[in-house]
Amino acid sequence: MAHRPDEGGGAAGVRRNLLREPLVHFLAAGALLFVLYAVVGEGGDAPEDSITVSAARVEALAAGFERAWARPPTRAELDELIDEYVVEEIYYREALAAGLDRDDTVIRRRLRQKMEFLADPGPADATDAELEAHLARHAERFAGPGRTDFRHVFIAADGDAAAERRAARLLAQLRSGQPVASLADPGDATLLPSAMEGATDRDIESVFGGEVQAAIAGAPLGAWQGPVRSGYGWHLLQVTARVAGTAPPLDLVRPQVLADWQEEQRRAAVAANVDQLRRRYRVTVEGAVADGAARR
Amino acid sequence: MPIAALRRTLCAAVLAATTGPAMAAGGASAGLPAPDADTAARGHTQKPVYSPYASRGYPTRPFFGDTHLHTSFSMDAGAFGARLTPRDAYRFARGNEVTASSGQPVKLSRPLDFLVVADHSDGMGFFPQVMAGGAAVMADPQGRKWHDMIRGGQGAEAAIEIIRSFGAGSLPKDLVSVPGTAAYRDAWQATIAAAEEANQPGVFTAFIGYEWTSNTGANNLHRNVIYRDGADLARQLEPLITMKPWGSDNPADLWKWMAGYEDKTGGNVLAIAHNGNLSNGLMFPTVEAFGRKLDRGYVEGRARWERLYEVTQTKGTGEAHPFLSPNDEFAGFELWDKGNLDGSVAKTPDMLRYEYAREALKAGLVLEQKLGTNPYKFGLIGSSDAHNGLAAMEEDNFFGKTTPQEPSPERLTKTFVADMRTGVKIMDWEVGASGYAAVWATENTREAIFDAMERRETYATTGPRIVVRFFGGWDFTDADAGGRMPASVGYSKGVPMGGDLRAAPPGKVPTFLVAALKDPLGANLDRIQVVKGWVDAKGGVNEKVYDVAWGDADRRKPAADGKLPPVGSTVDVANATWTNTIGDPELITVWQDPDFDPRQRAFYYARVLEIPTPRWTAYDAKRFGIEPLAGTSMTLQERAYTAPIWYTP
Repeated sequence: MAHRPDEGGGAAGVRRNLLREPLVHFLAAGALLFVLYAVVGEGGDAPEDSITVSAARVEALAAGFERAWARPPTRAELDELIDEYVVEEIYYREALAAGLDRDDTVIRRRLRQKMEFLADPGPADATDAELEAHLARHAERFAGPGRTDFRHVFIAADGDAAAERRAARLLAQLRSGQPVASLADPGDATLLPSAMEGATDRDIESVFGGEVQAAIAGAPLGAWQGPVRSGYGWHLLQVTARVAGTAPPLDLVRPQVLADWQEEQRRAAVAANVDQLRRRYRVTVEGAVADGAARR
Repeated sequence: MPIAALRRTLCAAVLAATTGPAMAAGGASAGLPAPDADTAARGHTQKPVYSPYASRGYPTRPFFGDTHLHTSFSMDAGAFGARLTPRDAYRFARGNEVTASSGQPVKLSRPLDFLVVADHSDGMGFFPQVMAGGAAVMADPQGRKWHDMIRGGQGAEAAIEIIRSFGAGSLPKDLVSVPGTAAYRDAWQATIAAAEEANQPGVFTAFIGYEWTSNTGANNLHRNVIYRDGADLARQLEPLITMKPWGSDNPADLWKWMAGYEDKTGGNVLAIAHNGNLSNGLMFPTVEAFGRKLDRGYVEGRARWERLYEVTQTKGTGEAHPFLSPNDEFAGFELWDKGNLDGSVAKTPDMLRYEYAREALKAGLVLEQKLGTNPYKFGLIGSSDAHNGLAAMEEDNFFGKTTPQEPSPERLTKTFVADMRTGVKIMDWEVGASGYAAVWATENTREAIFDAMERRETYATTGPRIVVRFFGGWDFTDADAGGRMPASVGYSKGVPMGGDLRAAPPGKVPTFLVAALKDPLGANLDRIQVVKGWVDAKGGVNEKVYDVAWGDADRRKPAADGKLPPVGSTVDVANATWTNTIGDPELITVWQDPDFDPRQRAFYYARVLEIPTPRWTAYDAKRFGIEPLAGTSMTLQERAYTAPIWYTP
């Protein structure tokens, strides 16, 4: 594997002029000699590879120091920075040579992240037409919640079996068309509302709990349903009206639609990139995966 | 009433007053003959509305939320390891799953209805800067040290140093982002933007807010400031901080800032005082405050700007203390009474009466007699004061107060605050999974919830979403408790929690319609109590707690001494379970004051107790298989406290 001297220093613009000074080059060269001497050691094997700390890299190290400390490094500090860098570079190369990057989850994920980042086109500007089309295509994502009107007869859960029988009796009367007001037994008084209008699923759940909300969501229009058991007691329920959530006009939800559209663009770009790369590979999965393992 | 709110009310009154006459006058001047009464009556039919559900002008359900939540923008929260931002906090409160700073997925059992992200105004956005190693931070030796400690995995130690240094006022000047700097502006704008993004009228209310963190001597006098307004007004002024010379640690100066904000922008703000249990005797002064004798300016300012009080939160509950209320068997609930915020000064018993809500309500009556205004005429709310962006206050889903206190096998046994010198020590297990604010607003919007807070129509819960109604009047009868629509009766015959009883008709005594409905997911109810406080003829203050309705009433009767037997317990601590086989899912009654004297000032509020349930510590012991330390509380009776109703002769 060929190792190329670092061309980096993208973030190094700050003190460029100062660091173009010959002094710095001199320091860099000096540090390099020092490092080579230290690493290779006297009387050891001849160096097989070389590390060149480029002027741009030295510049980047100095600029990084200055960002943190609000002053340029002293000569000693710069020597130390360069030395640290060279040690890092040596470790890096040795680690690659030893294959230490291969089975390391952290490194694999980081590299994948980098690839995805490169494939990410960044947020794009959308035209109104594109946003309108996106809104129309995914109306449900931006729609307000559906709303339900329903009525409710409550039977307290005292003596459970008797209460349930009573609830069933009341249900039969309601189903036969008797209005609630005319029932000899109109159920029990409760702090729970005897009707809700324009209630969202969330409204219903926050007042009655999940059991009643689920029963109302599944109930046909008009017919009395139940009895449904909640933490409060038994409930007979009649849905009297229901409207699905409708999508608002673009102007009211433009930021959400734009964010959603951009996210979709981003995902599409990343997916297309993966597809393209995938074509270069033939994938073989060895061995059958046990059912249990797959499920876990 | 704040001027702007008064202005709104006046405008509405003026509109109402002018509309009718203007129409009649307009008709006459257009050359038509003035209609006679009969003709006019046919033109303006005013039949009673048949449908009992049509256009009810009163709130039909309470909205639950948190007025006091910190994110990584609060420097201590960030130092403790919080990474969640205001945006994450709102997302979580709306019911979305997020990843906590400790890396665990977390989601509420159901969404909250509203949230105030209230990050500390001092050093707002400080921590993201320390983390990032910004230039100013790294140029300061102390800042660099903290940065290195956090990067080196010593975040908790750094946090403690930062908070101590802030408490001692020795935070390096160069490090503090103060109003007027770009860093500060960015943090405030980001806070506002997160609220604007999450706010969805009718579905979820995201208030703009901040916490003004007066903490001199680590005596906790914090206030949460909440805006009725949107970004256009809130961004016109940066929050008040406490560090001089930019700000002040005196609440009276906060009120000045609030008045200035309202004058400049035409907006509305209110302030809620932090639970006073860590103020070491300073939260409810009765003689002097900040070196000044309590005068009309103080009591009027406090009454005008602080109409709510945070009675329960993760750092303990501050309704009542057994030392002050020896006859109240439920006063000793989740107490933190060992010292101030950092434990640097231990508590002495003489401090307690200036820290607990019930005492303050009583002291307020006396001050009103003396100075003409009751500075402590507040409604009650609970909130979390969590410092990890997570308003997760359910016992079985408690994500702690700080990031290190998010669920882990360690949190049952670790120490939270310890001061070797004073011996004050608070363990992580003492942190409470509490609480939320319940607000009887007409709709879920910033305006409606804020206005309900201003009229104090609120109550505190220690976590469960119990529904509590409390009305006071002179004519409630037992039949009103048997009806199907207690609220309709309550509003037509009386005033709701937070209100004032109308003038006493001769020979009548106050009657109260009180009702409670258990949390749909929660435990049955043990009892409803009414707490009364009053000033007697000699000027002394008194209190009494009455049991007014209770569960299992068919087999559970008060003893000869009037004492109601305990409801019992179904809690299996080892398995962290309980059953709703005791108590009742709902309770309602009409109660009248048996000891009423029309010459004496009084207040009444309701306290609702659940049956015993496992505390979060029991869920932790079970789920992590950890043995709790000796003395750890493993069960509790969750509760709700309503705003009082006042009687003034």
